[in-house]
Amino acid sequence: MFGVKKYNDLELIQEIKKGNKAALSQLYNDNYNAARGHILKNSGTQDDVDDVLQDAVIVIWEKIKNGNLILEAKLSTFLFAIVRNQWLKKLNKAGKVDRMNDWQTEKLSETRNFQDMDLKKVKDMVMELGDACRQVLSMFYFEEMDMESIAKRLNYANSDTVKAKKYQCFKKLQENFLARYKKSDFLS
Amino acid sequence: MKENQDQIGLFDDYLLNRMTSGERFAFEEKLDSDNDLKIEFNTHALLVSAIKESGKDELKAHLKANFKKPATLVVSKWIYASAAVILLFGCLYFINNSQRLDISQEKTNPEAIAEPVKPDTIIPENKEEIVLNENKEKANAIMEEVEASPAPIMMDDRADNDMPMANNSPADGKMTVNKEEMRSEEFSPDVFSDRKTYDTTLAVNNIYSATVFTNSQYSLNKDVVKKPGEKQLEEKAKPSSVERKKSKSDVDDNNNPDKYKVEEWESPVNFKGYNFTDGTIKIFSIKLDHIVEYNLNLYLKSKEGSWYLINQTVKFLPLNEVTDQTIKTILENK
Repeated sequence: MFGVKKYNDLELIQEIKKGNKAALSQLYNDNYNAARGHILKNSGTQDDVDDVLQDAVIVIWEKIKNGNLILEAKLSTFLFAIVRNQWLKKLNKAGKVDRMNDWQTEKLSETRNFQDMDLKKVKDMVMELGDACRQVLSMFYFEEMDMESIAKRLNYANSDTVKAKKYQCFKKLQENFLARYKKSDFLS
Repeated sequence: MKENQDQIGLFDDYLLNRMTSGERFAFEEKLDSDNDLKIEFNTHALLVSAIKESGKDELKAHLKANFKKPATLVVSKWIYASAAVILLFGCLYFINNSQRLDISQEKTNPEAIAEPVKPDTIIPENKEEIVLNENKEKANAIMEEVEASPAPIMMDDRADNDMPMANNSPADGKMTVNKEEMRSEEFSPDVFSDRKTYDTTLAVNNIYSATVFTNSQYSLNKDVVKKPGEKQLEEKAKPSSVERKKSKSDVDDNNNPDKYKVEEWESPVNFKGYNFTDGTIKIFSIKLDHIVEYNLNLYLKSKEGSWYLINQTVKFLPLNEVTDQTIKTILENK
């Protein structure tokens, strides 16, 4: 708590861009009280607070990563806006908000089918991969790091090594997936 | 395998937005026309989504694991709580202590009276406010005792008898004169008023000085006035030395009837010096051993054994120590 470097907004964005998880933690911790206050006041639970704030931080992170973040206010204000929207969405999803219109309902249920049921199973397969594979795949697809950065971060000889490793790991996941499911099970 | 790797690369580029709009358009066209490719791509997209989701889960786990409740939420409550407790105890301690101080002050005062103010004792500064009034009373009491006490004066009388001028007046008369002199010079309202001016600034020292004043007063040719309550040993030692010295000076200065009073004063600022006016030598921060006249100059020897030249001066001057060895030897042998 004391003695840990505190980043200002600009530094935070820079550090998040670099993939510094401590910066994300700061964003999360600093805005926890505000998010908690809002969600608990609006019929949420402690678990909801954690989920929604985590999602909101990830949204920010993705925006920063993709260069889509245009900051017109403080980062905390922006994050709080996301928290509010996300929580509203969650309430809608759970049917807690009555004034949800039909169009929204339709759209939500449409996307849910694929994601909620199947994705979870595939996610488990990812988790079954070894740490090394999971790390490379996560860095490449989730963090969207380039091969050279991954090589540096994971101490690989060069980007080609990472490329080979990534291919190898992805193939493994694909094989595991095809061994258990038919493509048509998911994609019909 | 190479083909497969290329295809994965193509899918990745599409999914990770690494294509130009032209490439993107061409790729989508191809997907629409090739059903197998579409199935391949959808599988790939599902796996990538799963990887992304697990990445998110890991990040969430990291956020949760590294979550520390902000200081303002809980810690500050503890800080406020402990501050309040400390403040409360602080207040209690203060109140308790100040009450104790009142009692201790009451206790201190009688002690201050009981403890004699010795000439060679420096009164601690912190006692000054407390003992001020008590010491005034004490000083007055001592002065009264000095006036009333016959013992030192009798001793003086014996000394007077040796003097030529003592023959002019009878012993009793001398005694009266001495007492009157003491009253008029040392305990006159003037002297007190003088002291009062000191009272306003240097209360402790002044009271101390007033005490010393009466106790350590010497006349070169005659009187030794000792504080009646002083230690017996000291009383025996001091008069005899002064008497001896006095008889010597009588031999040298038979025609000199001058009497010098020496007052030992304690300086609050550690001033080491003297003044000499109207036959009274006030010495600061040193103790008198004896006085000798030589070559029409007055020399004073301190208890430490140093000789000082004393000139007539209304101003307080720093002590002028005799360094000349021959003069010292002469003075020692006088």
